[in-house]
Amino acid sequence: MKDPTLAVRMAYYQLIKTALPTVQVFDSIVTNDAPKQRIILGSQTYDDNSGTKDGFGGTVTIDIDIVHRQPIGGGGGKWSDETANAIMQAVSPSKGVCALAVTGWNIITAAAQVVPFAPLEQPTSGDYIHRKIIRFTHQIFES
Amino acid sequence: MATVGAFNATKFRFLIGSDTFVNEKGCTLRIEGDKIPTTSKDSEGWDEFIGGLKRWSGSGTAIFCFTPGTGKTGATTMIEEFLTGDRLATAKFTTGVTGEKEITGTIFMDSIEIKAEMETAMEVSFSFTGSGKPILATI
Repeated sequence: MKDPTLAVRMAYYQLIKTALPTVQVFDSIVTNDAPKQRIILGSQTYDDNSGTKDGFGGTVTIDIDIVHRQPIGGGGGKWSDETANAIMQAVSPSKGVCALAVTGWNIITAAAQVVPFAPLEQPTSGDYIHRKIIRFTHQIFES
Repeated sequence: MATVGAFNATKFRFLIGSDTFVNEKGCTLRIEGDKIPTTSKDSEGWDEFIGGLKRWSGSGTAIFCFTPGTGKTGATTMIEEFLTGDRLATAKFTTGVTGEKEITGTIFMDSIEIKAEMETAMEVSFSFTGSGKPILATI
């Protein structure tokens, strides 16, 4: 068997950096000095459930965490919404098309579920955090 | 080395000529024969038969692709046979492992069906009937 999660994560990094070059993208962990608007490549799963006799295949998911930290009255969730929309359009610009290039794997399908969060107050600074997670699901086959 | 005992069906492939059917998900080989009743008053109440005509057939499913790559074949080859060929081909069911058994014969392609459901991988299924006697041989 093979684990495609690193290849998928790298593909998402490249795709998001191309679509949103000014936004910083973090891999799982965010540093203390991270900018207030950031994207985190979050949890991933892979279910090796649908290969063929020629190669492995299955369903992969990745959570793209869109985070905007701002002071009270600093604005709403507009940046998170716009960023989520930009990422979703970059991943699948039209129905049946996935622009993600994952080394060694063919991406067959792309589906997304957007999970919004109510604004969270950060106790130490009093800032509010607007957060939105897009969970992408792909059916992939070894190429 | 030949496998002793049960083995994973993933190893068992369908080939057209010497090319493996690409992205195969499953294949079926069926061998059957007619029986001619010979029951008589001398059968002491039990049906009796002799062997009649025998036949073989098969089918398979795969993830569809237009360009199978080197050493592979696929739906395109079958479609070409339907459009311009005689639908006859040499086929083989084999694990490709030396010392194991394989079945070879001439097939007549009966059908090919390509499924393109939204947001799924395209699939192809096919069926054929054997023409003449298949050969069981050691690889």
